[in-house]
Amino acid sequence: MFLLKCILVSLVFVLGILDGRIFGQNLLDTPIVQATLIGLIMGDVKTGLIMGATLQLIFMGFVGIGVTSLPNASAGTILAVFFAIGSHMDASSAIALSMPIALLFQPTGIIPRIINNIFNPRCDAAAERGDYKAIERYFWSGVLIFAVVFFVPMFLATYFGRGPVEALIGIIPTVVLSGLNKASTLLPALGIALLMNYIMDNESTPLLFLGFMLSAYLKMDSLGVAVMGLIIALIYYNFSQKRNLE
Amino acid sequence: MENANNVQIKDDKFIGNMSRAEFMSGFWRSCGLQGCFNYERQQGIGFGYAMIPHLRRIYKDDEDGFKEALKRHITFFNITPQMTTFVQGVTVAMEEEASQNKEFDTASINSVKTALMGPLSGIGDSIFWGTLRTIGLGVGLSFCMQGNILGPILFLLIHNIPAWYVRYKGLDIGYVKGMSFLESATEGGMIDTFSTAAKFLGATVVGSMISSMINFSTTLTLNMGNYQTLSIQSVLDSIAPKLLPLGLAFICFFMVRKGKKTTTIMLILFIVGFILAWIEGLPMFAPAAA
Repeated sequence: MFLLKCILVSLVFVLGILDGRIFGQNLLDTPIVQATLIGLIMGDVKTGLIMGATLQLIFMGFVGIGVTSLPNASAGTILAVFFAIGSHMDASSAIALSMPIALLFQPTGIIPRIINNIFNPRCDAAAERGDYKAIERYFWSGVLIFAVVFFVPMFLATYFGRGPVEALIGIIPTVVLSGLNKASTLLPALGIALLMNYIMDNESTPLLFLGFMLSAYLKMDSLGVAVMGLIIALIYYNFSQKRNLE
Repeated sequence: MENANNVQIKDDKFIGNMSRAEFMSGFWRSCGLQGCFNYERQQGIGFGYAMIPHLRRIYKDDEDGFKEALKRHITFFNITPQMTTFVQGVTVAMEEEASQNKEFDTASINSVKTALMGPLSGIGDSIFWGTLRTIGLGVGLSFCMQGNILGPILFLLIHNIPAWYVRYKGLDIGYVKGMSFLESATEGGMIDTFSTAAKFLGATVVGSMISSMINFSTTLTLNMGNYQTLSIQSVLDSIAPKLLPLGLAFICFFMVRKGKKTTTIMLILFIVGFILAWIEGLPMFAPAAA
């Protein structure tokens, strides 16, 4: 029974990450939703709801848009509610524990996003062969990696309980975390370089710098830069059209 | 039997050249945008995955065209997930044009995709993350605090009903609008000019992405003695802002142009990342605690 609960709780964590991967981002990873589901599994929905509200407020600022890696609010929420209902920890100390747990679980978000880089060159090779089925396979492998990397540590944390989790929080070498974080700031440059490779030539290079300057110097947001680019593109288009007609 | 199938597919045209089955397949697959998310291409593989049913129809009789198109759509992509179907629709329209018109510069397809992702994300993030999520939480939290199950339910409904509506309509609108625009451009013989204009727009947006999407900076600080410290980042910033992302993007770009494998470049970035983090962690280079 306990084992089943551990598995179900870990699956809620997996559901939270897969929601944004393959279900179209329905915000199922939000603390109030996750806490409610854990409450449901542990047989105390009311505690789940009430703790969820508090945890939601704590983790409110942690919105992961795009590549930014943040403490894992969902893990903090799940384990806080799990310990509170399952091991009768009092709610306020369970909530206090949620923040270090969220930090401890931060790598679960980073690791699959790093592992999945290995599928890029493989997909390129598959595209070269026109083998779309292979691309689909690599896509689903990426999904599977997210699921596994999220399931395993959550299952271990629920199964072995509070003691080991608290002990672990103390011993992760900071250089591993900071190295992963640093690498995750460098890697987007490669993706952007690949885009540059598609559209950069003598004609368009000045505009690349224009876009960079607008953003870096004038702090223009992406919409503003796109409108500027659109204006220049339209000026060019209209002038060329006029020349064509003459 | 095969004939019967063909006839049925023709009768079943849903919008433009898309059958209902293809539309729905593209729609459901768009939900997997971040399925193979990684730091390099981000949503690229997911976007390619969603394009597969469309590309298989468009390049049914053109294997080389199919391969090139597959390659095009597994490159870097990033957008607010709910907005992806609009770009997908526009892309399908452009791919149809490219498959019919050999003059069509296929580089403009990725230029347009790139140009759309920034502004659509700006709008999408503010609608979904900023507004609907916040309203949903505002309503949901008060119910949750009373232990009322309506809390999470209302929260999910407030965000997800508009989100699914936008996802569904986006594919439709992007495709239809994209097609009609391309048609009028082709009739005027303006397709080359369109491609160049799209490239200009794409280049401008990519340039801004270097500054906005690469968050590479350093905390490296030199100790000059006498409690004087010199932060490398502030020196760089005094030359020009975002110098590190610009340099890094161009180094990667030149490696790509030189034909270096992306796996090699990735490995280099990793090693550099860990070394930098290690150096930054050394006490002698750490910013002094005032």
